[in-house]
Amino acid sequence: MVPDSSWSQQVAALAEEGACALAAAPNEIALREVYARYGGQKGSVKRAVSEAIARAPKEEKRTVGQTGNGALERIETAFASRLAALADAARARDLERSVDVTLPGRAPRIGHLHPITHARREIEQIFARLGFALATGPEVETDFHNFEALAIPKDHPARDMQDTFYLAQGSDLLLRTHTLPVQIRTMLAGPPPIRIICPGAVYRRDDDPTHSPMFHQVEGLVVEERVTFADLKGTLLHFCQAFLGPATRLRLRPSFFPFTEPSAEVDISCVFCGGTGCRTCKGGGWIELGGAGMVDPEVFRQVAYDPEKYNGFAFGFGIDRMAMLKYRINDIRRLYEGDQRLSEQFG
Amino acid sequence: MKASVHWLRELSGCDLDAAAIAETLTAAGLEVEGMTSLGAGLAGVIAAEVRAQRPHPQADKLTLVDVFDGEAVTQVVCGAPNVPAAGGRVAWARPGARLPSGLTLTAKEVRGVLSPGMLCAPDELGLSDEHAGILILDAGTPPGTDVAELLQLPDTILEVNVTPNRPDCLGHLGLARELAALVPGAKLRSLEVDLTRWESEREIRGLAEVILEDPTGCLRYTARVIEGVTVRPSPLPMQVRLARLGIRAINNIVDATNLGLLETGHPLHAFDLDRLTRQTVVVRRARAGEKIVTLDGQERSLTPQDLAICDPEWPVAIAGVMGGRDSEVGPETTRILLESAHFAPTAIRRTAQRFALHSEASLRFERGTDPNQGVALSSQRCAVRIAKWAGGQLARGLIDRYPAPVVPHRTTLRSERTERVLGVALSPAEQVQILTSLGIDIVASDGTIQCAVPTFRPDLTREIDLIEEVARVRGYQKIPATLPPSAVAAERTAAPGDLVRDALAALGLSEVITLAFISPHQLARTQIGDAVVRLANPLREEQSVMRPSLLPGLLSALALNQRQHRGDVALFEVGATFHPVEGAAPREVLRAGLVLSGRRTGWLKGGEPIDFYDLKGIVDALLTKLRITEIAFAASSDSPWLHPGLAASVSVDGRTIGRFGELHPAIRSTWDLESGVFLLEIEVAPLASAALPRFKEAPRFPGITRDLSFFVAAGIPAAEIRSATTEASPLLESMEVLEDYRDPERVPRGQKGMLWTFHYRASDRTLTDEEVQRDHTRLTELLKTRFQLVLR
Repeated sequence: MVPDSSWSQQVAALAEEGACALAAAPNEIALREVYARYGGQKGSVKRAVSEAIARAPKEEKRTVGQTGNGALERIETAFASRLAALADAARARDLERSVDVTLPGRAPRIGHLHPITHARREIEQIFARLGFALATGPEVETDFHNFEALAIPKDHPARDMQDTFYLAQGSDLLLRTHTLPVQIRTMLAGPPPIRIICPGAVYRRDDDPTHSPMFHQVEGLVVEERVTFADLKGTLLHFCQAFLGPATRLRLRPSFFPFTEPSAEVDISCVFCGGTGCRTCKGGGWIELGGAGMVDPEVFRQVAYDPEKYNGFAFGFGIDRMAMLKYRINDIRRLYEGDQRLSEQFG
Repeated sequence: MKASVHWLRELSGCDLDAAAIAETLTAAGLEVEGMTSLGAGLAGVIAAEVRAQRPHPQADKLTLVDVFDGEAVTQVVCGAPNVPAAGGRVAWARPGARLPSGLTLTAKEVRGVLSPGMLCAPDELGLSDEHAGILILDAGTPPGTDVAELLQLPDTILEVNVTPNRPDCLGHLGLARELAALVPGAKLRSLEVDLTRWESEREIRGLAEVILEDPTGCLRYTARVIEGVTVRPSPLPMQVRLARLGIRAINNIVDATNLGLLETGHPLHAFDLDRLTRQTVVVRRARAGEKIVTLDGQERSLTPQDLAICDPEWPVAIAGVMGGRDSEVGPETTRILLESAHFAPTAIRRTAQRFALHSEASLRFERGTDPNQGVALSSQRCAVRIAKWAGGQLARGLIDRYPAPVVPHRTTLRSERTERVLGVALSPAEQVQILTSLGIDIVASDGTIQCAVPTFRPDLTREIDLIEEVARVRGYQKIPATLPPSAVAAERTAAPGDLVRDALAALGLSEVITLAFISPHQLARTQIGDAVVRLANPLREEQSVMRPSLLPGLLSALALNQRQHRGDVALFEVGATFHPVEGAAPREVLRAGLVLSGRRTGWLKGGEPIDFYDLKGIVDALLTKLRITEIAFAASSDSPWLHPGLAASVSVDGRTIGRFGELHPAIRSTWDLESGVFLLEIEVAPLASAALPRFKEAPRFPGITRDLSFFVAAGIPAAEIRSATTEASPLLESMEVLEDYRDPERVPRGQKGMLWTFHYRASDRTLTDEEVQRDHTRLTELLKTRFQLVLR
């Protein structure tokens, strides 16, 4: 007769062996393998306990069972504590990781809009808030829309082959020299009230650091029953301060354009020196921005508007120039080279 | 135009300093673009008479000069080689005198001899930059005369930008009239002269004759005769005045006409009367084949379009443009015929342009001169100057051919209209005062102001012109700044193309804007054979055709960026392309184009080289972003600029709107580009037309996925397989290609291996394996029959 105590000892020894093996497991995979051998319903400790209970005399089954439970618990505890220790160690190792935060990130490719597009958008938005709609038109224009309807006489120097690009196919077609034809087209298309701005590419036969043969202009036109030169002045002042900053001052100087009367050159206080005088403004404190004026009655006659009933004002300036002033670009040709490093600077 | 502040002050009676005058003129629309100060600070230099001279005892190049200042004789040391003989007049800066350089003179020893001050060269006086010798004054100058005053110093030369509507301001008189109107207290000096003092007994009739044959080209022709003149240099103060206004002094006769032009703005011409056949001037159109040698020595052939001043035999001047050499005033000239005329602007402009001869005279005639006061006054004043400086006498009277005199234009200003245009109320009295100050006669003023506009202001013909004058003289700066009455919000506020710009920028491409005219050579080497719109007058051959495609511009930009060692390039442009239409204006199409080259972004160093599918991904994303769904892609081998195997077309409703793919390797090498280059060009309008999105509930029940792996003929595109499956099961939600492989070791010849995954889902319940299996089997069978798939 084998005393029950030897069964108990065998179970305890097995549990001891299993607990040791668990505590020695070098990693979680090994730990789970060891546990699979000793622990759980199919492990060797459970099997040993079941066998001991089966073989034990009836009156001792209870004691053997208690010992067996203790052994099983030993395995579970050893497994859990080793698992926790391994997790702690893993976390401690994880916390040892570090990076060089000054290295660049893994960047998605980001795109950029051209500074002329940025400037044009901002100009459009400022005027949109004043109720100006957007109007566009073709870049190849007729002599009528570009010159004739604007009261620019036939022998005016601007109509010369020196200054205007003409198409080879016929002398009536040319590359528009301003976006004023869009105003003419808009007026021909319907009656007042009109409040539009016309941005777009225009072409003149110039090529030097301050002139590109293609550049961008925005022109505005308001035709209503009650608008005045004072409104023109207010509109331009509002625009310049919104675009170039609230400290910007505006100066209108009398000038001459065939399609406006009274006409004005529009100057703004120099964005570089604030008006005290510097190299850009040639010491004068002012920078020329563009032209403006009240729509000449002759233009209204061309589009069959009643100049007694309606007043109109118009203005125009270079988008390129505005962009150059705002972003301090010094050579207009930089805008048209296609260098990716240009747009990249503008977000 | 160059204007002397000294002269302007003299004519206008305005005593503002140069800066204030410049500011006043600029604010009135006569923009002063530049200012040059002359002789500022000059004081205490006087004219002195040379009495004697002897060599300096210690130095070869120095002279001791005895000068007399009207009271005493003093010895001055002088280093100049041109000390005049006794009796000559020089400019002596005495001790205490100040020069424009800032120097105050003292008595100083020069090589052992005391010199009280010095004799001045022109540059030391601030007159010019000449320093070859001392300034020699006119012989009659009284000793002791203040030299600054004599030489009209200090002075400031203004560079005035006169707009084409203001011919009256191309002379000092016109500018002075403006100043007199603009500056309180200033008053225009009268320039009328008394001729009788200078006239002889001889009548002009009989001395000369003028025949005006073309009264359209020449509205008025006047001639005066001055006899007994001696041609010599004009007085120094006049030479000085001409020089500082940019005109070279020639002789007293020519200088008098030039000074007249600068004074009144009206050009004059002097002929040697004795070199005109029968002393007769004929004003007519030139005859075909007639030639003239102009003052610049060039022989020029005239045409019947050119207005010529002739004698009875041949042309002696090109009217209003340039005189002829054969009738030029020279040293032997004793009798002058002085022309003052009005020529039609268009005739002069045409001739001046044809000869590319833009003279001071033609500039003014082209803009329009004054046939009344301009012609008369300048003739009188010039005649007197010639008589004064050349010692001649005027023949009595004037030959005046003026068949149709121009009368002042009448126009009316409603005083309340001024407020309606300007937005500021002005009393009728104030408006009348402003108009009067400009020389306009007010005929009546009772609510409406009736004006007679003098002929020197051809720009004032309408009411609006007078309103502008009121605004101009009163000052634009005094007009308030108001905003127009509020309007309803504008309907259209986004530019076409901006949606596409934003989408492409969001996809990592950077915008460029390139010139719309390109080189035909670039088109040819990009194999773009489209018909093109040509310019008649390009700046250069490389910019002579309007682009029919954005691609040459983008390839140029790519080449530039690669030259700058930027291998990874992703650029786009949105702009018009131009396409000829028979007998009509070209068609303009707004397009978007892009170019990709280099590598994918990696970390620290670049990723894999980009390939066709990077481009396709951008195209897909662009269309997704713009919500364009009804779109078809097809392989396309008909674009010569694309690699035939890596080229696709994009179509909407059966119409091709764009193409993309890898640049043809042959073109890539002619452009000398590195690595693979990927291009897209697509029309913008179809991309900007998506309907508003409609919300769809996202599915809430789980779906089931089944994969299918097979071999299929390599030529069957995925899109065909995809479209064949769409009808196979109502439960099929979507499908994707997970693999497409063609390596010969794994795939039978002519086949490709594909792995597809199909997602099944119902919107109203959780699917069972059985129903999905049923549908997936049907789909598999369908594909097997349709495409002869071999399942793996």
